[in-house]
Amino acid sequence: MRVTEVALATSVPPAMRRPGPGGQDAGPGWRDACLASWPAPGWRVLALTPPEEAGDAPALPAQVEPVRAAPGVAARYGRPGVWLSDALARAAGTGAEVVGIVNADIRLDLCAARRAALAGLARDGLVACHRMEVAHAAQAEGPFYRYGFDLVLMPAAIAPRLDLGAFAFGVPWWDYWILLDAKMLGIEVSVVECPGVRHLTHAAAWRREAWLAALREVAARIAPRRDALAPLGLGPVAAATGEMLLALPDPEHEGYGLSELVELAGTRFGLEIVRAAQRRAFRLD
Amino acid sequence: MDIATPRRRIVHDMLFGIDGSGWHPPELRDGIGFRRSGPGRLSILRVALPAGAGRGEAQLLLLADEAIPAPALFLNGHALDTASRRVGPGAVLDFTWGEDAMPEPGLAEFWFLADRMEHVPASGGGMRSMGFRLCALGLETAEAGPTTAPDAVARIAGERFLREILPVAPGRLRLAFRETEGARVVEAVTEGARLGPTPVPGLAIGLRADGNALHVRLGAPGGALLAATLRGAGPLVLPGALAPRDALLMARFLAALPSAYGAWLDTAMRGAAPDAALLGAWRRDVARLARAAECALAVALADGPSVFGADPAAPFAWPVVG
Repeated sequence: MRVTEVALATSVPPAMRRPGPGGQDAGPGWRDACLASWPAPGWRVLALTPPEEAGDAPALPAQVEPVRAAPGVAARYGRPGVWLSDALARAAGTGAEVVGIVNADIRLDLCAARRAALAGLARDGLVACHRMEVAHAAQAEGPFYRYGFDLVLMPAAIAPRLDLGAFAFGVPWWDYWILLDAKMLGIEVSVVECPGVRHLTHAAAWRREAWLAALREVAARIAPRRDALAPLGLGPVAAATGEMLLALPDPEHEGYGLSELVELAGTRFGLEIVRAAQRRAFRLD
Repeated sequence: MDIATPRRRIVHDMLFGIDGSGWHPPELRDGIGFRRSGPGRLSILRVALPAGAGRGEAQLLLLADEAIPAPALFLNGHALDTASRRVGPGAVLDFTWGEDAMPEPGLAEFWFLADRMEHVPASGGGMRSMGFRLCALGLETAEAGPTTAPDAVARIAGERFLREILPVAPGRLRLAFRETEGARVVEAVTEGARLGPTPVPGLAIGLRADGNALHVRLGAPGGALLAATLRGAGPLVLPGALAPRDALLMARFLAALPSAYGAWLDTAMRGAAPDAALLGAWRRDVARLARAAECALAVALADGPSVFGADPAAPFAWPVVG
C-alpha cells in the first residue's frame, strides 16, 4: 500500500536557463537536480504540463508523475502556464493529508527529519518557506530571500477554500496572495527559513505590466472582503496602502504620478503581508 | 529517524519602522532591504523579547570585496560574544545572550558599536557618516510562549493601576559621567520630570557605583535630598521621610530610568564615538536599580498600607531641607 503523506504539485518548464561558471548554462543541470530532489518516501510529486507544452515537456524521473494541466493560462496571460488552483486540486486528489506547491527551480535538500518537521507544521496551517539563494549548486550556505515564498504547504482540507482563481505559476503576487487569503480565512500562517529550500540565483525576470495586472487581481479580491482585512491587525501602513490600491484600481487612466504611486503602494502592501506572516516565523536547520 | 524541530524565531526586518536610533533611512536594493548604521558609531535597536537566554543572528549586506564588519554587540548593557561568517553576498553575525541580559520580558535594547565608518557624499551636498548595513535580526529565545490569560489580565490591570494611581514621568535626561577614586559617578539633570501630578523642574539625579553598591540621590530645588542605596541584589530601601504613596512614586520613577537612559542615548549618541563599555556598565546599573525599585514597589503594594484609594491628584510632598 502506498501511503502519501504530502503531495506536491509543480509546473516544470520545457527549458530552464541559469548562468553557470565560465558562461555555461547551468539551467538544465539545476532543473534535473530540482526534479530529482522533490520525491521521497511519503512525498508524492505531480508535474503539471500546460496543453500548449505537451510536446516539449521535459523528461521526468520515474517518481515524478506527469499530469496534463487545465487550459486557459495562455489565453489569459499570453504564455502557457498552470493554474495554482488546478495544481492544488490535483494534489488534494491524491488523498494526501498535506498538499503543497513548489516552484520548478527550487531544489529541496530535505532529509527525512526536515520533511517530517515541515509536514508536521503544515498539518496545522499554511506553511510558506523562504528560499536560500545559492550562486552555484555546491554552495553550502547562502542568504534567504525574505520577501518571497517558493514552497507552500497546507492541510489538504484548506486547499479548496483558497481563492486562487486568477493565479498561475510564474504570475507575480501568488505567494503574497495565498498568505493573505489564508489569513483572512482565519488559517494560521507560518513562515519557515530552511536551508534545504534552495534556489540558484538568477537575474530577476520582473515585468512591470504583469506585476501590475496581478496586483489588480489581488485588489479585486480584497475589495469584497475588506471587512476580513481589519481584524488581522496588519497595521496602519498596510491599511493605508491597501486602501490606496482599492481606491485606484486603474491608475494609468487617472493622470500624472498615480501609476508610480500605486506601484510603490503595492510593493509596500506586499511587504506588509510578509511582515504579518513573519510574526510566526520558524527556523528549521 | 532524526527529529528536526522548527525553532520559533523573532524576525526584525530593518526595512520597516524601528524603535531605536543611529540608523539611516531604509533602502531596498536588488530585493534586499537594509539600513546603514550611523551617523554615530553607536546604533540602538529595541525589540520586544521574552525573558531568558537566547541566540540570534544579525544579517549584514556587504558590497563586493568588502571586509566583514565586526560591530561590538550589547544587549541591555551586557557585552555579547559574537562570531561573524560570510554568507553569499552578505555576512551573518551570530551571537548568544545569557539570562542575566534579559531577566524579564520587555523591550530588549541591542547596541551595535560599529568598528569602522565611512564618509560618503550626501544627496543634498556635504558628507554622511555611515557604518555597516543591517538587513534583519533573527532572534530565538528559550521562552515557551506568551503568558497565560490570567497572567495577562493581572498584568493589564496592574499596569493600568500604576499608570492611573501612580503616574510618573522621568523626563528628558542630560547626563555627565565622572570617575572618582574607586567609584563611577553619573550626574543627571532632568527636564519635564513628574512625580504623580507634580512637576519637578530641575530634578537632579546622582548615581554612584561603588563596588557592588549603587547609591542614588534625588534632589529638587529647595527640597531635601532623597537617598537610597542598593547593595548587591537588594533590597532597595526607600527614604523613610516620604509618605507611603510618595515612596511608591519614587520607586516608580527609579523603575522608569532605563527607558529614560535609552532615550538619552538616542539623542546624545548621534554622531558620537562613545565609550560603549562605560555606557554598558551604567545600562546594567540602571536596570539593576529599576528591578530593585519594582521589587520594592511590589512588596509595598502587597504588604504596605493600601494606596488603592489614593487620590491621584494629590501632590508629591517633597521633604524640605532641615
